[in-house]
Amino acid sequence: MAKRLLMVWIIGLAGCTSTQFAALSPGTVKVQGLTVEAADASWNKAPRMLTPHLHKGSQLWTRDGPLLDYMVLIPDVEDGETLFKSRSKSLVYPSYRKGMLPNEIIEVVESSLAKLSGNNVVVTSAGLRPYKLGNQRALMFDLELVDAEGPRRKGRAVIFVEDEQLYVMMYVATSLYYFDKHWESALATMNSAKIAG
Amino acid sequence: MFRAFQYFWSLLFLLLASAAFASPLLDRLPQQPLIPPGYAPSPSDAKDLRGLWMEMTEAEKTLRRSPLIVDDESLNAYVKGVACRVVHNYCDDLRVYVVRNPSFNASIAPNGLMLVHTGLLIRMNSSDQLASVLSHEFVHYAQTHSLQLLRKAKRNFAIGTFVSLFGVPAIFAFTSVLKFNRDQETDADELGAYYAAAAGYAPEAGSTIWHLLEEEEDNASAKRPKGPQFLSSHPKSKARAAKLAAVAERITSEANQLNVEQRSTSHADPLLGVLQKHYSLLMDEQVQQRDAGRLLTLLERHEALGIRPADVAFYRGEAYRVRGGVNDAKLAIAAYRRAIEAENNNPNALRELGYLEYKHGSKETAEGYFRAFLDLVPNASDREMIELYLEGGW
Repeated sequence: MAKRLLMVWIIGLAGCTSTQFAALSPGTVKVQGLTVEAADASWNKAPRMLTPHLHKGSQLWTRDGPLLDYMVLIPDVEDGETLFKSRSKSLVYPSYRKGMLPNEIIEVVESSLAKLSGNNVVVTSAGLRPYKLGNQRALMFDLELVDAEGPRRKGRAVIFVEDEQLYVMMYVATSLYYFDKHWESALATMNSAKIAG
Repeated sequence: MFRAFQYFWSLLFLLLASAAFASPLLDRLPQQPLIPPGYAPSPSDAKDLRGLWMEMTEAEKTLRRSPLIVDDESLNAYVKGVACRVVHNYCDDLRVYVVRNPSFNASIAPNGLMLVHTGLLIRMNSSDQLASVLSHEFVHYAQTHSLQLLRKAKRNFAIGTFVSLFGVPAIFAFTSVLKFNRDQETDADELGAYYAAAAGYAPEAGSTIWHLLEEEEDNASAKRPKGPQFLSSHPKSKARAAKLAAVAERITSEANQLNVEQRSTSHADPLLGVLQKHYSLLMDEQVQQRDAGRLLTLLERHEALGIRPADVAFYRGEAYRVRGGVNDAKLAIAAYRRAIEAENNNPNALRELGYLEYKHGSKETAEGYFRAFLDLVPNASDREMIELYLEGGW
C-alpha cells in the first residue's frame, strides 16, 4: 500500500514538472520582459528541469537537440545579477553592472559560459561590433567553445541594454554543419526581439 | 583475486623495485610500489582490472586528439622531464598531458595517464614544487590508489556516462568528481616527498605549496566553502602543510645520514622560462575566472619569480579592472601605463587604456590609446567597435 502511494506521488510529481521539450508554434513568444518571434515551427523549448542553471525567465531553445544547437534567451538582467544561476557556493558567476562598456559585458558572457561548463570548455570571444535591432542600439560578437572531446562549437550573440537591464541572446552550435544550418532562423528570432510592452 | 595480485607483486617486486632506484633514500620508503616498472595487465589478472585498463587506454586515445591538450614541445618536455626524474625507471609507464583548465589540479589514471592542469602550472614557484605534485600523483599510481578508486566508482557509477549538456568528457568528469580518500592522500604526500627528495628535489616544497594555496584562498575575492575537516577527502591546507613539513624534516635528516645530495636550486630554474613563454595563455585563463584577489596574489609571486615586469604590470591592470572597486580604474590605468613603460607597443595595454580612459577619464586620451592600438593591430577583431568609439558614437 505504501509503495502504491509512493508511486502515485511520484507520478503526480512527474505530471507537475515537465521533462519534455515543448515544440514552439510560429509566432510571438514572451520571454519574461522580452518578446521574440519563433520564425517557424522547428524550435523546441527546453523544460526547466533540464536547465536548472538558467536564470529567472530565461529560455533555452533547440532545433536538433542541445548537444548540436541551442539558443539561449536571457532577459532583464539587472545591476548586480548574474547570467546563470549558481547551484554551488564555490561557483561564483560574474555579475552584470550597470554602466559596463560593451567589452566588459562580453567578458561577463565569456566567463559565465566557461564557469557554466566547470571550466571544462575553453570559451573565447571575438569580433565585437555594433548591431541594430530595429531602433535598438545593440552589439554582436562571436564565440568559440572548445571542449576536450566534443566537436568545436561556434556561437554568435546579440546583446543590448535597456533601462539599465541587460538582454542576452546567444546561438551556439557545432561549427561543422549545425551552426550554418540554423543560424538564419536564430538570427530572425533575435532580430524580432522587443521589450514587452 | 586482486588482493592476491597485490600480495604477489608486493613480495616479488619489493626488492626489485627498490633496487631499481638510484637513491638509497628509496630503501627507506615506508611502502614500496605495488606494481613494477613496465607493468601491463596480463590474461591472468582480474577481469575487471583488465577491463578498467582497456577503458582508460581507449579514453586516452580520445584525449590525445583533444584540442584542450597543450601540445607545445618545450612545455611538455619540461613537465615530462620533471615527472621522469621523480619516477625514475617508471618513466616509460607514464604519459603526461598538460590540459587547458584554470583550476589547480593534477590527476592520474590506473594505466599511467597523468593530467596536469595549466592552472596548476601557473601556481608553481619552482620545479621542486612541480616535482612534489607529480611524485604525489605517481604514488597514487604505484600504490594502485586510482585502481581502487576506479573500482569503487565502477560499483557506484557507470563510467562514461558523465557527459553533460555542455560536453564534459568522462575522463575529466571522473577526475574532478571522484576523490581519493584521506588515507590515500596522506600516503601520497609522504611517499611522494621521498620520491621527490630521492630525485634531488627539495622535500619541503610540498609543504610550501599548501601554505601558498592557503594564502591564495585567504586572499580570494570569492571564498570556497569550508567544511569540517573530517568531511573532506583531502586534509585541510594548514594541517597538510604541517604534516608535509614534518615529513620533509625527517627525509632531510635521513638524506643527510645517507649522504644523498640535493639538487641545487640557486641556479636558474627552467620553470621560469616555461611560464614566461606561455604566460598570456596561462594568465588569460585566470583572468577569465574574474577573482581579483587570487590574481593579485599570483602576480606578487610571479614578480618575485622574475616574470617580465611588463607582463606582471599588464595583468595587475586586468586584476584591478576585474575588481572594479572605487579606485580600481585609477589603479588599472597606472598598471597598464607601467606595462607600456616597461615594454613599448604593448597592444593589449593600449586597448585597455583606451576603454578605461573612455569610461573614467578623458575621451581625448582614450582616442590616443585607441589610435595607437589600431596602428599596431590594424586587423583587430573589435576594430569596428573601436572606430565607433573614435567617432564618439557609443
